[in-house]
Amino acid sequence: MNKAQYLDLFIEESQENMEYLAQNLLTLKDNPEDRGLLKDMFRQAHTIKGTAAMMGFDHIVEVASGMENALQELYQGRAEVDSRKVNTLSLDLRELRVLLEDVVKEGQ
Amino acid sequence: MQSISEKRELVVFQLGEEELGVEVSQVREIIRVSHITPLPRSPAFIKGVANIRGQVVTIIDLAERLSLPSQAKEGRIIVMEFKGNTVGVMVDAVSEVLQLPPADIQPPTLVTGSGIELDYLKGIANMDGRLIILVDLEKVLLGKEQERPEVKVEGIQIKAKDFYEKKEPELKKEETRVIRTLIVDDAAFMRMMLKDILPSTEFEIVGEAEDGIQAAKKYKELRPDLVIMDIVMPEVDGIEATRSIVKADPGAKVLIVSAIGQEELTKEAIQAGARDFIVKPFDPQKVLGAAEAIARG
Repeated sequence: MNKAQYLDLFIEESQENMEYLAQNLLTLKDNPEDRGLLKDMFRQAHTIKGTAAMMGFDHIVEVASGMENALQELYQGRAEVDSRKVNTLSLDLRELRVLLEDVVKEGQ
Repeated sequence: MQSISEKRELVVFQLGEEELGVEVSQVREIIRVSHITPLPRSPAFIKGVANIRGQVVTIIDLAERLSLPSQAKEGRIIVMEFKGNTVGVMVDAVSEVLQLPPADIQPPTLVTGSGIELDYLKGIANMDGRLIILVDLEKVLLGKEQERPEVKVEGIQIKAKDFYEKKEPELKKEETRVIRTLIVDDAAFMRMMLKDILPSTEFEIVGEAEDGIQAAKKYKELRPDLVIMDIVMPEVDGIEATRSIVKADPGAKVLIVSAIGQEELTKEAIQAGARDFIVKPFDPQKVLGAAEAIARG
């Protein structure tokens, strides 16, 4: 399978999902109990992880997987949203953006 | 024993590398059963019971009974009427169900004449060179387990071929009908990749859906042969969508393709009626193999 042909679509969808995650993180600070929002964020991290895994971008998989697990715990009510968790998610998202930017540069 | 002058319905199937047939009153359906409840103290060839459309059906492991090397023991089940009873027989794959004219069946004396004496053997059906070993289902069901013949079927086949002047069975003709497929995934990236994996000579992508609601709606409209379904999606997830599709059409064939780390959800999807699952990142050949097996099976 020639993965290069899927690179543009991977970058486009990943950027889109990271943008949604960033917006949702802002909303989450004022709505920490919003399970629907948390589930959307879980799904966005899950999609980034799944598509990055297909492309073989292991660093992105690792970071997105951490976010996915944390968000799953939060939306399932096994953990509470607090400022520390929001900060960790923000840092993870920042790292994902850097890693994706590396992919963009390498692809050019 | 049933007279060979009667017309019978014959179901022909694969167990391991062998092609066998049993005569029955009626073949009800060919399905895949996800849960079989074992029966304590029953012979090993009675795999257990399964609830099939509200009826408790005894599931027979024919490979175990006949000492055949079956490779897919959890494969398909033929639900059949036999002498007033309903039984399910585990097989690897079903070849065909047909009304067999009596003249096509060579009675068992021909086989015993070749030195084989097997309780469960009813005869050999010679269908244009294809030699199908007919199994006496009554003996299989009623015979005592310790009477199981020790002869392997490999030996039977060699002798049967000798008797029929070493005629090689014809290769089964490849099924050529395209598999109408619905792809369900919220990521366009994954839908594109799946479409590219499935060759257009075998698969026709009749539709795509981005969430579980669209999936159920499109299934109803398009009635595809196969659904390839993601689990984690917006609105309604792949588990609920599978449940809804299988409830409306119990024959629906759903293959789950889900990312690693969500194995619990995958189990739920199988319980909801999905036939099989593949974990992302996947090997394209595995997806292709599973899609073909489910759709053609």
